[in-house]
Amino acid sequence: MADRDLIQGYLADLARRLPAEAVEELADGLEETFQHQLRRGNSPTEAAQVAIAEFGQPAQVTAAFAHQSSGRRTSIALLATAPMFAGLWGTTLITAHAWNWQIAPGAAVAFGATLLTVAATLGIVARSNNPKTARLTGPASIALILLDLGMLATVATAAPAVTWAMALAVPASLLRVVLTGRNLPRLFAR
Amino acid sequence: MRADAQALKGHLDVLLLATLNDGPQHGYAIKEALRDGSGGRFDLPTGTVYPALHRLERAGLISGSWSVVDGRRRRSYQLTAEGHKKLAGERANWREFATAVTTLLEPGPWPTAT
Repeated sequence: MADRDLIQGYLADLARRLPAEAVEELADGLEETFQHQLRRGNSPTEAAQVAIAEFGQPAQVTAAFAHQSSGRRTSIALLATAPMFAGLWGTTLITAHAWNWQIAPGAAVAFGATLLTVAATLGIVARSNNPKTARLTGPASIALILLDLGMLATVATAAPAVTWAMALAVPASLLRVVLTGRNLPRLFAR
Repeated sequence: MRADAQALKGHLDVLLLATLNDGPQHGYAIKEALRDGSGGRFDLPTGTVYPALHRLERAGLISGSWSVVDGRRRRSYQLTAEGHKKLAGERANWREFATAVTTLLEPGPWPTAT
């Protein structure tokens, strides 16, 4: 039963990297491919080898899942727009003299640390070929929403006046909160 | 991915939708339809077709359902109303594009000397 061992070994490799439901679907497709090769006159072992070759290396298949995942696509989109947000909020903080605002130093440090963690997480997901890593985008998105809301609340309570940069940054962040929130169900789905 | 399959980039979604135009299919049958329908030019590694189908399902263009065949659970896909609409739109766009490119590439008559 070398043929079955080959197929089971291949599926076990995929199971370490992919959700069970995806592996079940792939297993059906692999069996179809195997049976097709048997009908073409291949021996069982040859049929298993050809079927596996047709399916692609486990790393290639799992990378395809990672690249097509909502998590990776969302991470890339959030990273692509990050420079614009950094520019808007950086200009806002400078033009509004944020160093004079009454903010607890601990809160500012926590904000900065969370922001760096979110950015690093999104960067890891964007570069990863592991579909399981893409799941990190969900928690990172929630953290980003909280950061946006925290910044908006800070501006509302601590900024002495509205600046032109603030007038651009606030609606931009509100829009990101809404869009990121609407995308959350996809990120936490299979 | 075979060399010719590189040409699929940007067109894979609509080609996958087209393979479902005649009714529900499972992943392996979709991959075979893609290969056979292209005369063997678009022969993707089978395992890489499934994540593309999952993405189309998340986008609401196809819907998947489980059944049991020969004792195995099988997931089949069919076009949604949105998927049919998308396919029709992409077909029209492609025909316009192909007509324009063909017109430019086909050798035309030489201008007559006056």
